[in-house]
Amino acid sequence: MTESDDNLESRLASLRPRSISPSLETRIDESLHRSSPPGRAVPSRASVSLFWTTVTGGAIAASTILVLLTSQSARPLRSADLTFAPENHQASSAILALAGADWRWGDDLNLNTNESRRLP
Amino acid sequence: MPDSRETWRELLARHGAGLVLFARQWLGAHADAEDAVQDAFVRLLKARNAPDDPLAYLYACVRTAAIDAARTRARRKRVDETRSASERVFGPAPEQAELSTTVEGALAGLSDEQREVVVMKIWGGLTFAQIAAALGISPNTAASRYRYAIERLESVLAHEVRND
Repeated sequence: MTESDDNLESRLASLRPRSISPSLETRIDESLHRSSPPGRAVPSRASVSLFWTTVTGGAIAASTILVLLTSQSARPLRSADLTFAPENHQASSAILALAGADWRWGDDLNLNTNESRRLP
Repeated sequence: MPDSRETWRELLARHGAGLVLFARQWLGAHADAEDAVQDAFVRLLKARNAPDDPLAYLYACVRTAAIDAARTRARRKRVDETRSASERVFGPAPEQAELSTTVEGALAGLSDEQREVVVMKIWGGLTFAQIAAALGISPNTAASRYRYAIERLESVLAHEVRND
């Protein structure tokens, strides 16, 4: 800072800002008395509204899921439910083949074991 | 700390005028500027955690409140009109009336960033560290803005004096 800068600063500082109104202190005091004490802030209307919207939305979603699940389990079986779907044809034929297969194992199977025992 | 009523009253008595002057950068009317200062004090006194530097905090709150009020009421464009129309920014000292008018005009010619630093430093009595804390800038930036502003004011005021 140069000397002229200091001079300018002191000239500027010699100007005093306008005084505040005497009522300002009272107004601040009143604002403090009107407002709630810290730590016990009253929730705003927007936050209360958001809370109830969330609760209501959640309740509606839960009810919908419950109704869907209940109607699914309570529905009687229809003949259409028992038929195989076309894409299951291969799987069902494989199951049938397995069911019709020879289930004899071990000694029941003719593996010519007796013949091999007869060898010297 | 501003926990006791006495302390905030002292703060208001000592710095109220500077804070109102600071708010008037954005709000032309003195009453609107006082409203911003009122908001700032209420915020300070309701703060859950007391700030380290209440004065810097007050300036930051006044700035926010004044900018918000100016935006809301769309008064920003009318600041100069209001300022020049009736209400003086500085006190009514008759011997300084001319200087007061000249300085008001010179301040209006500064950028917002420069003007707020000058007002905080000269009429608020804040240090560069406090200005930096209030504005969210580094102390070096605050000092730099101040230096440029003073240079500019000096040239404007010198020009004014020559013209007179």
